[in-house]
Order: sequence, then C-alpha cells, then structure tokens
Amino acid sequence: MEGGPSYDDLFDAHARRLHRLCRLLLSDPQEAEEVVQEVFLKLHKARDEGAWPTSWGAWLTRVAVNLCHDRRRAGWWPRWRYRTDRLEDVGLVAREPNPEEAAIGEETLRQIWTAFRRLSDRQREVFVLRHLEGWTTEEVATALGLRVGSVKSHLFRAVRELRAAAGGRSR
Amino acid sequence: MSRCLSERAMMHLIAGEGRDAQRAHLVVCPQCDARYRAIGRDLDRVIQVLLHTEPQHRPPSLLARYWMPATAAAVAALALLVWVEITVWRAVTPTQPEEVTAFLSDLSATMFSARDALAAGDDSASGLLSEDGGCQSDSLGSLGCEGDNATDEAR
Repeated sequence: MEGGPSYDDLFDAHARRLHRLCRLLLSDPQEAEEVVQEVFLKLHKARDEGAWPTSWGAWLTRVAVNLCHDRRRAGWWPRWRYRTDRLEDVGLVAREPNPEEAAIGEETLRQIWTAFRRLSDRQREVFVLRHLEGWTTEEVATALGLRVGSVKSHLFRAVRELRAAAGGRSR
Repeated sequence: MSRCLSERAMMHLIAGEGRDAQRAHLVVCPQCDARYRAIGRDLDRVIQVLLHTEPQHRPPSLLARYWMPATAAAVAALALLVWVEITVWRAVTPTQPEEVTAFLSDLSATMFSARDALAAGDDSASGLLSEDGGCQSDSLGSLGCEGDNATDEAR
C-alpha cells in the first residue's frame, strides 16, 4: 500500500488527541499513556498485516476506546494494585491557571470534573465521542455496538448531569 | 408548532439532530430560543473545561484510600473466627453423643423402675432405703434428701 500516511505522520497527528481521549475515559494519566502505546503497537501490526481503513483517525479512536473499555473491565484488583499517588498528580507545586481555568472559576471547574467522573462509563464514552471527538450519533452507535436510540439516551443523561455541574438549571 | 420544546428535544437540536419543525419553533419562540442558547453555553463551557483544563484532583482521604484493605482484613478476621468456632472449638469440646445418650437412657430406666416399685407398695424396698439412710423423695439417693431432713427436724 502506498500513498497513505506513514506511521510517524499518524503518530504526530493523533498521539496527543488519543492521550487526552484515554485520559478522559480512564481518569488515570499513567494508564492512559499505556493504552496509547498499545494503540500504536496495534497500528504497527495492522499496517504490517496490510490493513488499510478508510480513516486511520477513526480506526485509532475505535481501538483506543475499546482498549479503555477492556481496561475498565479488567477488574478492580489490577487498578487498585497500581493506583498510587504519583508525584505529578499530587500537585506539590502550585500551578498557574490557564486562561480557561481562570475564566471559569475553580469551584465550577471542580464541579464539572466531579460530574464527569460520576458519569457511567457508557455515558462518558458517548459524550466524549459525540461532543469532544465530533462523531455523529450513528458513528458512535456503530463504534460502541449500541443502538442509536440508546446513544441518544446516554447522551441526554450525560449532558443533563454535566450541565447541572456547569451551573445550568437542568437536573 | 406552538408547543415549547422539551429539554431532550433541545439537546437533540444542539447535537445537530431534531426536526425542521422544532428548529422553526426556535425562531418564533423567544423563550425556547433563550433556553436553547443557555444549554449551548453550558455545553460549550463543559467542553472547554474537559478539553483545555487539567483534571481537578482532590487529595484522597485515608478512609477512601484504605477502605479496601481494611474491609478485606475485617472479613478475613471474621472468617478466621468462624473457622475456629466450627472446627477447632467443636473438636476440642468433648461431646461424645453416644455416651450421653446411653447415660440418659440408663438413668431414665432406673428412675422409672424405682417409681413403679414404689407405686406397687413394695414396703421392703422403701424400708430398705430408709434404713440405709436414704430418703423417701429420692429413692436413688442421687438428688439428696433436703425435704426429708427438714421434715425430721420439724418432728
């Protein structure tokens, strides 16, 4: 196969996005990093085997979402066993807020993140893919193996919870 | 379309779905239009936070951090206690049910045979017991003769 993007091009174009995606789905930066490495390992194998999807971006996202899903289903023991307070997570050094953080306010930020973590795994996946990755409802349904109506339902509940945290009246 | 839109319909519209009639309603209904914009604003804010800010970490409390090992230890201790009660304690306690059953049946047989003898008016048996320092209320002499002694003293 020729003319397609190289491995390095794909890595440069998608690694950061996938890391953010996995971090949102797993809430653990270390685990997200591991999943991204696994995703690109699978990319390498897929290219060796001659796989050539119409969109590498969508393919990578699908693989990342599935791996995150597998991780969450792996059980509580491995997750608990390796859960430690890493130095970068503890926040020993006070960090300057970026413009978005400064504009929104610390309390609202905390509430939004808390509400996001409280969403069910499915609601989080659907919300991230639909609103952060910009997929259509049908694409989300296909990728997650759900019905379109089910996706809409998850999305509605997720938005309602997050909106309430963001200061909206819905609840 | 004159009825105001539900929240679910609004969210479908924000997600780029929904019907044309619903979109047309937004144009003519200022209240629904205002609600639609408010939902869109909140959603934009959430997306901005999730995309551009770092997750807010709350330091884990000791209880939250150690509830699992603490619970596991408590359950293990309870299981150990139950195991000790069931296996060790019962094994050490001399129950020997066959011996107990045999003793009880012997005892009841003896008691009933003595009572039958008394009921039949066997004077020699009661006289013999009295002469031997036995008592009337307890022909076997196993329970003591407090009542009889008290009667003797009263006399």
